[in-house]
Amino acid sequence: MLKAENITYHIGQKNILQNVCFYSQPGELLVILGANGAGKSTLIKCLAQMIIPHSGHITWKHKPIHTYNTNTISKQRSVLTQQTMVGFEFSVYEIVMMGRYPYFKSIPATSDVNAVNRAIEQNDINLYKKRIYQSLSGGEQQRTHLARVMAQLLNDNTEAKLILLDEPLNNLDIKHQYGTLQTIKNFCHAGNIGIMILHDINLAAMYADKLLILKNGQVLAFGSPQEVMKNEILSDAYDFPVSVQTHPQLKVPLAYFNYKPEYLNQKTHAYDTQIHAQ
Amino acid sequence: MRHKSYLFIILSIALILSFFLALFYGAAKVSFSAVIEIIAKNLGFTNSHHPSEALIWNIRLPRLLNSFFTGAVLALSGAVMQALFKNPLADPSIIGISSGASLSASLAIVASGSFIYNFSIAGLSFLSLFTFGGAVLTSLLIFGISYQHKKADVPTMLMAGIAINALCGALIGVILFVSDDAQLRSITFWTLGSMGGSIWQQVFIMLFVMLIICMVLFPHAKDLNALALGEENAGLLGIHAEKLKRKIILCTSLGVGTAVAFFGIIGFIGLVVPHIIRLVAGPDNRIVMPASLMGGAVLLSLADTLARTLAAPAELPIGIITAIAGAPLFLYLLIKNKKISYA
Repeated sequence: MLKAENITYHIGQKNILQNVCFYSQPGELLVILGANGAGKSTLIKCLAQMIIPHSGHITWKHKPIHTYNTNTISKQRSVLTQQTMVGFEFSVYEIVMMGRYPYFKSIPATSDVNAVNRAIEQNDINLYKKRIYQSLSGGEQQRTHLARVMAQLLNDNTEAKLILLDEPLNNLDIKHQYGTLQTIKNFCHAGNIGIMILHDINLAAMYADKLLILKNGQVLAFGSPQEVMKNEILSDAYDFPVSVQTHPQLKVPLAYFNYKPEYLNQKTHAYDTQIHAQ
Repeated sequence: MRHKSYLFIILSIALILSFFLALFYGAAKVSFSAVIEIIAKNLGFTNSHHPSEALIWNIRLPRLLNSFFTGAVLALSGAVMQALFKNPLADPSIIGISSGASLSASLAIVASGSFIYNFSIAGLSFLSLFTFGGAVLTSLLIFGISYQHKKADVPTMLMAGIAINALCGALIGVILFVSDDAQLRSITFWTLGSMGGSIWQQVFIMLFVMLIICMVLFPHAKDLNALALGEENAGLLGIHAEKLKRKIILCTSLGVGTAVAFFGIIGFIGLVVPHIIRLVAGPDNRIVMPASLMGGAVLLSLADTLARTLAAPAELPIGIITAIAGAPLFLYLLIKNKKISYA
């Protein structure tokens, strides 16, 4: 349904993405993992057509994605970018309503108002909807944009839709991290595709149907969390010691880090010398 | 607080009041009934002749309509420029319209001698035509410099604008240096703007330009809102940001270029009117654009009424009035709204 073949993108001499291939079926939530600079955001930007890959093909519903016209695709695909600066003092409601701009000419229809209210409800920003965006905290601002990109895809169109999210959990507290992931998971289960970048491996293991692990612009692993969450793969991806066990309650892979902070070493050392002195 | 519903009622009343104020008020007083009579006659309803007819119909009315349409065009251009640059302090001078116009106007005044006063096409002076050309060329030059890889880069446009403005400023300096006292005075007055000498040809041209700009830009009001999220995000909402940018640049060069060519540089309207509207009604361009159009018309016609009556029978340059009246109002709103905008 969504297929990326041999995506290559470079800036100057530096390869940002090299022959990246993956696919996704409706109903799936795909999480992209990888270290800083692995090419995760660039891949999302390619899928969002914010940049054009130097080679490779992206197909959406069996047609090259660039053959869709901008208005058609904007009703099927929405994108949360990593940082969104808002230029004027719009209210939260007005910003969420911008997600409906592909649907109406000048005056929002009832369906647009309903979609906005639903997205506001889903993202728990009802209390702030009349506030000016700039007066909100970082997490509240993030939820405003989440509501905007979700409102953009709330329509009667029964065909599969695609939501691309670059670090959607930025600045969110624990409760809203889980809430947002659940909302997106529900959206995917309704026959849509979600692709998101996360930094929390364990949240990814809990919610993702598939993981795509990137390293230096190349695919290191692609498969279900059970398949790809291995000590070697994750340690290689992050260049950091990772061990994987099974979550005691949820039975999904659970990663933890075999790294002892230096200050803990010093503490034990200081404690040892204390004992010796006595 | 945002008062959208009252805004248009207040603006409509202000528009009507400023219309009649501008017609009655002046060095020579004309009664209400006389004004109605003269308008009715010229529209073909009656036949009576009134002694003030020439004053009202040939001087005050074209001047009033010119200030309406010019104020409207300047304020609307400011509003869309600010939306494009995502900056409430942007105005059309950023893309070099004013400095290009100043340069070509100074050049015309100094280099052409009496030619500028004698030569005209369809009632439009050589100075106007030359100034319009300079204004439009400068803005297109700045747009062209910022245009790379089929995209106009807004920060480059801003920087190129600063450079070209500085260059024009220097060249104007050279022209001032070689000009004589009379030319110097003409240039200074031109840069301060004046609605004096308005003729009906200008009215029709300004109206036509205003209608074109409204027809092109009004359907894009919500697209301009989306630009607040950045061009990339606007594109993801199905908006052709490049086409929109081109339309904005062309419309503002046409509108402000025409206004500057006829009436010189009238500062502050493009900056202060959209800003006041935003402070009162919020940043939604579906409201800011029509309200700026009306607010610009009101403010410039009131300013012009003051300009021609304060020191009657002499006339003050209108740029002085717009700045003296606009700046304190602007400051008052800034200070007052600082406290409530985050409430």
